[in-house]
Amino acid sequence: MKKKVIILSLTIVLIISLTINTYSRYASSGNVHINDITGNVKCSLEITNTGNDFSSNGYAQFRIKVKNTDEKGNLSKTPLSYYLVISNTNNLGKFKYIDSLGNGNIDFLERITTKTYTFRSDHLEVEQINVEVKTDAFVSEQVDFNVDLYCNQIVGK
Amino acid sequence: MKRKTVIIFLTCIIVLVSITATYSAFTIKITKTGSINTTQIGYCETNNILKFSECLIRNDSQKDLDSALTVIDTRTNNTDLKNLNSVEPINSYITTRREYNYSIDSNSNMATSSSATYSYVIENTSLYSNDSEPENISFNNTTGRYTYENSKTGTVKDIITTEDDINNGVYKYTCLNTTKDGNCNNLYIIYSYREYNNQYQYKSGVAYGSEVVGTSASSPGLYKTDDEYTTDSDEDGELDSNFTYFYRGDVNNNWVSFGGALWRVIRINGNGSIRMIYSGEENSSSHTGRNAVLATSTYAQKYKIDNQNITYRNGATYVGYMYNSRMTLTTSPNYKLKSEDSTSYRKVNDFVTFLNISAPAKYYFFDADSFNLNSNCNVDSGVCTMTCTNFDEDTGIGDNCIMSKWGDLVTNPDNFDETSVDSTTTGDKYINDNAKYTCWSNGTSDLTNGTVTVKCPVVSEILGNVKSGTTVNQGQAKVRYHGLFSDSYETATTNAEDSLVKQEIDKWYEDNILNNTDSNGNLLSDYLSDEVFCNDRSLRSGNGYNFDANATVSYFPYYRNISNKSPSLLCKEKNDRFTVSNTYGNTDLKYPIGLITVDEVALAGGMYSGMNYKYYLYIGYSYWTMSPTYFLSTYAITQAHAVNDSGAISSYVVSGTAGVRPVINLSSEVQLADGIGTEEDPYILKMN
Repeated sequence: MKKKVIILSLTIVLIISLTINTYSRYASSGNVHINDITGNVKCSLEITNTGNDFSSNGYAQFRIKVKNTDEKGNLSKTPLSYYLVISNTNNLGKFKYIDSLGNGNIDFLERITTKTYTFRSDHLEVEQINVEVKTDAFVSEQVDFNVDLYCNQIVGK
Repeated sequence: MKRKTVIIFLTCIIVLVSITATYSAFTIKITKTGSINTTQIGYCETNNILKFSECLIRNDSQKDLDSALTVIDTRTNNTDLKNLNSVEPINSYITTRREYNYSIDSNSNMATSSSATYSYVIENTSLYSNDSEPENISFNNTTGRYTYENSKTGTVKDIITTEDDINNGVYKYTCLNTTKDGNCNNLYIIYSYREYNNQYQYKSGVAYGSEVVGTSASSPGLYKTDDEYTTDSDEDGELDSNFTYFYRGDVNNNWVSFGGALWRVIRINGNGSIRMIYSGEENSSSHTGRNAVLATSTYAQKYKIDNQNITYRNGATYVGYMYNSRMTLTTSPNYKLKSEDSTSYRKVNDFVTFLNISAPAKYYFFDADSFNLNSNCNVDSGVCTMTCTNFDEDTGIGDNCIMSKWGDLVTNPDNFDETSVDSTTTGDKYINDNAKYTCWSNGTSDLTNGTVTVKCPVVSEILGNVKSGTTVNQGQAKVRYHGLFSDSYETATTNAEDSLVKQEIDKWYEDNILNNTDSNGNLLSDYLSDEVFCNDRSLRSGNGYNFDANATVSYFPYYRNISNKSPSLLCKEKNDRFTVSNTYGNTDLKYPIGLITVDEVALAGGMYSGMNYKYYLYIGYSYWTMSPTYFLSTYAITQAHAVNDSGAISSYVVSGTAGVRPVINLSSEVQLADGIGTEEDPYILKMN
């Protein structure tokens, strides 16, 4: 009987770890598929101005807008921290970001991770980040990219 | 045992469920994908776009012409050009904090009189020196300005933070202005002061300022609006062709090399000509600060009397890029007090309020018999002169004048008659005939062998005080002006003589463009197009030449850009459209060169009182526009718009000094020879 309990317990632990593992891979991909998650953390991501703006340094640039709401505009119920990972997917482009307070990376990189920001939960907050894009070529090239947004509940709040 | 197993099993299920639920509340990952085309260095050359105006438009988004114009349309539609109430780009500021401690003989630039008052607030800590949040002070990180609430008003001594204050957790903060909410770029704690030169001067304390750390998302590039060439080609009531395309924000692809200088393109005019502003000599080590202007100059010429510059120029005419110095002896406002003409209903409060009074300054006041308009003022010399004999410097008294602070005169009840028919609840009639006329500080004075000689273009006759209840304002006086004014709006706006700033510009043109050629022997002047430079003197208020209407003469550029934030590139009056031979304009120019307008500065991203270190017209040095502000009744001074050293649109007295940055227009036929439009590799041009 004792053996039975141990087996049962191990099975449950296995199920738990599988669930966590699965959940950690739980993400939308493609162009704007966000899985509906029942939870208190809400954030959203928008990419704009691809192809209309050049930065003052003469590079192509796009903007990322992050909000503490879901795509329907529902406010996050908890304060959260977040960061972005911007990566090239066709081995052509490099990126440099600058946020509204002037933070950013110095060199163009194929994959960049922004600093970690925070949002409160009592009102709408929006952060806009400009991303400059370049290649090593002198001609215009199409650069494909992914933007991953990681939002985490601030524990204890 | 079976029961025990069930309990364990259920417990595990509960744990599993709660972990899942908890985790789902902890983290979200969202992924989005996109693609973007990178820019091409040397886009115009590579794509063989020779016409320079087309190159500028297409390089803006590096697309074919139609697509590039669509991008400009979209960008423009996202911006409300009729309500430009913020700078572009919007800068992000953080606070700076520095302790200051001036040596005993240095000028701290923070001197004031003992009677001056300021708004201030109290906090219980020294701001930003630790993590504590201020209760009453706010810092706006998009304007770099400090504001406060719950402020008090106090004198110089009241705003000092003493050691006892600090020990009691009291820190006093002031913007050193009288504004209730502060609203300043520099905030101060003052620990100590000293008396210096009849003033108080702050010695030590903490100064809070700001610095730019970045910008919020912006859209630098070309935008469109209409100018004099824009038309309604299909006559459907809407303008649809020949728009002007202007640069706005922090662009860096509009540098042009021409005539030994670097220029920044301001806009492509509606006819395809290209307007650009001087940005320094091509081989200069930098193209900012003093290096980005060709000279520093007053806008209007100073008087020269007895080989002495009088740093004051009176009259509406001096807002003109060209002006008319013909003046008439005038009393303005030209109406009388009721006591002077029993049929008149004019009282003290109907006259002009003079505000340019410094509390600690001592002025010469002359008695009632010392001044007569026709004998003391001279049309040829352009000044009024008053003299006073046997002046004693120790007592400040002469035969027919005294030297005094206005505050001492205005607070003496013997100098006013509250019961006069001319007095009102807001102003009492002034009755001290021993100190009746003054130039204030709007002129020069000389004391030689006991004789005082004071010269200025306009003399103030003091008529009364300005009061609220029983409180008399020590910085104001009711006056009537006597002196030299234009006799009509037409006279004031006659383009008869060159302003000093125009003289500087024309001289530069003669030295650098007129007879010079490019490497192929083409005259540089052949590159240029004769386009309008708008010196918009259309009137928003006042009569345009004196203060008979008891109103400041205010011009439309001020109203459009400062009050209404709605710039326009249309120039209303033909007389104000400066051209050489283009008959759409006045044909009064000698050469096709002028100045930028305040409307163009606003469209480029500048704003009145709004610091902007990040748009392309910021050079860290002040410079003139050719847009009038006003002829101010309260100061009897004339002002024109300028861009100040923090990039903000400002208004400067025309006898003040600022940099000169000429503007020229390239012909629409000019072609691109080389370059990518950066400061390091500017566009180089050629003629077909």
